[in-house]
Amino acid sequence: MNVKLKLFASLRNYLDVGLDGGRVFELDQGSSVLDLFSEVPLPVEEVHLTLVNGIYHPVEELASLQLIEGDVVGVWPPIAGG
Amino acid sequence: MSWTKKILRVNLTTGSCESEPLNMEWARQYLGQRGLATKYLVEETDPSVDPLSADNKMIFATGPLTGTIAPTSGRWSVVTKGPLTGAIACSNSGGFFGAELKNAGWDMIIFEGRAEAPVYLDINNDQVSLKDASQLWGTSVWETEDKLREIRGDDDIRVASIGSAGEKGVLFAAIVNDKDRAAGRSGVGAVMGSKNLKAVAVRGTVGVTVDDPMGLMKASGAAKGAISENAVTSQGLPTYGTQVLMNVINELGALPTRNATEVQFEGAHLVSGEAMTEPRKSDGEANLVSTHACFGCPISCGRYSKIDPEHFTVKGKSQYQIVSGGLEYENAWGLGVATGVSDLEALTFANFLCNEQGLDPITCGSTIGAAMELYEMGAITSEDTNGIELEFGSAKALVEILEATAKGEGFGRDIALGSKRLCDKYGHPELSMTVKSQEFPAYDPRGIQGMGLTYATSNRGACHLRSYTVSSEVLGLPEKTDPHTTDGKAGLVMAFQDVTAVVDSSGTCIFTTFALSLDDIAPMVDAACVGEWSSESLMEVGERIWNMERQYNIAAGFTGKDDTLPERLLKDAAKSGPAKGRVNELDKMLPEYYELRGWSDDGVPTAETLSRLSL
Repeated sequence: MNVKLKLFASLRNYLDVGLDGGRVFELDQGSSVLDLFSEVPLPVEEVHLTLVNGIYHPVEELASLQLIEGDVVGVWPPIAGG
Repeated sequence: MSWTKKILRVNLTTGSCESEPLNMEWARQYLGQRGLATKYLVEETDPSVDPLSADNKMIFATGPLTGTIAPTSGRWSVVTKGPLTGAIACSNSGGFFGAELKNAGWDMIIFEGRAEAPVYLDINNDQVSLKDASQLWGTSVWETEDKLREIRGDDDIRVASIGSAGEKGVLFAAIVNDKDRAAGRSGVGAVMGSKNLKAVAVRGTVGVTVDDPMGLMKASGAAKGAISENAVTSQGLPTYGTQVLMNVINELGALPTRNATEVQFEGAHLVSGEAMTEPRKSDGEANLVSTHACFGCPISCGRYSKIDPEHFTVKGKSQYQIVSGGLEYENAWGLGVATGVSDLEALTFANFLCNEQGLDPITCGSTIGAAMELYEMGAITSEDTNGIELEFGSAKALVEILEATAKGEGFGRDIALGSKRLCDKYGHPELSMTVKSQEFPAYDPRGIQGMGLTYATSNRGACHLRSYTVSSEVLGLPEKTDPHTTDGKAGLVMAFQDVTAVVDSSGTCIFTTFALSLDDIAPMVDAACVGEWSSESLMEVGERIWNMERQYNIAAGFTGKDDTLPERLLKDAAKSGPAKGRVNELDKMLPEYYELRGWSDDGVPTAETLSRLSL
């Protein structure tokens, strides 16, 4: 299945991506978000905010959260604004 | 101590500048800055006053921690009745001006009356005088600062001033200090302009004394430690600034786009914090040149940018081919996303113009977005706009209309009214994205429910900085809540409102609260100020301030019916993203909020609540 990973802010350094931050990965069925991270590889300790199709999931859910075809996973380090 | 215990009262009608003692009883009840200045305004003015009349007063106020060693102690506020809203206005700024004013020995300046001809206030510690500003009137904020330094022969003075927007009475004119920090919202710059006051120049070398210097060093050291250990305040904000939110809020489907007709912007990544650091194809340079910190700030979220010299906005204009205040999230959203413009260099130029001429980029951008929608639906034509083709996405139109607005020329005079009056004038009040006549900022309440209640109940009209529940609903600080549900949001909004009122009255920056709680802030206030201060007593101060502001607005004619949102947010569902199909469910939150506040069903603080808070 194909899943799009979008890395933002300092995490962009882990993937040579354009400004939209995205690259499509081909994963086995049943792969989790952490499996997707390991394709990069992206150290999970640097991940603060993960949105799967725009929905927040805490880091502790990422190992068991199974992805499906067409999912878009956005990931950020610790950030804030106002 | 910590307060200088001195107020400067400037009567612009008579030209008198008098020192008077600070009311210490009020200081104990309202702390400083936002709270204390509002107390003075409440006691000294009629809430029904015309905001642009000589009878309105305008207060520049510092907090007890302003100018001290506490981290982020550069904050100061302008409090007055706002001309955009007719409500209480309190606009908060950073930079260095506030700390300089405090170091000159003043807690506040109360401006009253109106000067017959343009003047500026010259402060050198306790030597204070009003001076002729006829040579400054008509010049920009940037030129005014430079000229005042030249006149004073002192490069270390700090200046707060208005540009042409304040002079011309643009209803969302800002007061700008240190060239790119602004008391931006609610039109405080128009009040300053109506008083014929061009600028305040200050040099302060008296210093600030505190009650317990060792205690403040200890408490400030602990707070600085917490800020440096927190990944958000030590890495996130310094590296990418507030602009890092652009992609987050877009992915979340809560980015109000093209006058909030949509909630996601296809060009968000092109105007994001990441884009600012990317080398340009044209000249190989990045838009972002450096970060920038205000007085005493270890966070450094400010941005300095330089526009591509070949870009159409600055080509041949050497005065704009400089390094100056760059885009922050709200500015990039207002000037760009609300108008559908994804040209980063054009937005940076528009932001330069807002700083240079003193305009609030949130209301300005949102109003131009509303005008673009009016134009595209045919409610206004190029005849109305003096030939400007005001289409969504046009960087050229954005820049042209912004310049006309700052100068008070042509259709710019309509934009200068803000979107409420503009949309009323052209027969489509439903296109104004305002609460209490002030435009809401960069978070769509259809995708972040708590922000709907935040906007609806904000005492200064729609604003994110009265209770930034984005912190909890999106960023998970201090704990994560679901942005799509209304459960618990009434209490969340109330808590954020009260804490923010405290921080805004202390002299420090709300951004510290990404790392600090009131339990960290209270020891600094307690050490700096006489008396006993705890997080509990500060929360009561915050609640008192919130209710005092509410009472002012009620006396000014507002009712619970004004605690609402633009119909678009309540009826037109989000078209895309994770919030697709959702509207804001304000009706599920507002009654609970009133109840938690101790207000009646129609939003009036009960006698019991007022008594409990000594109001």
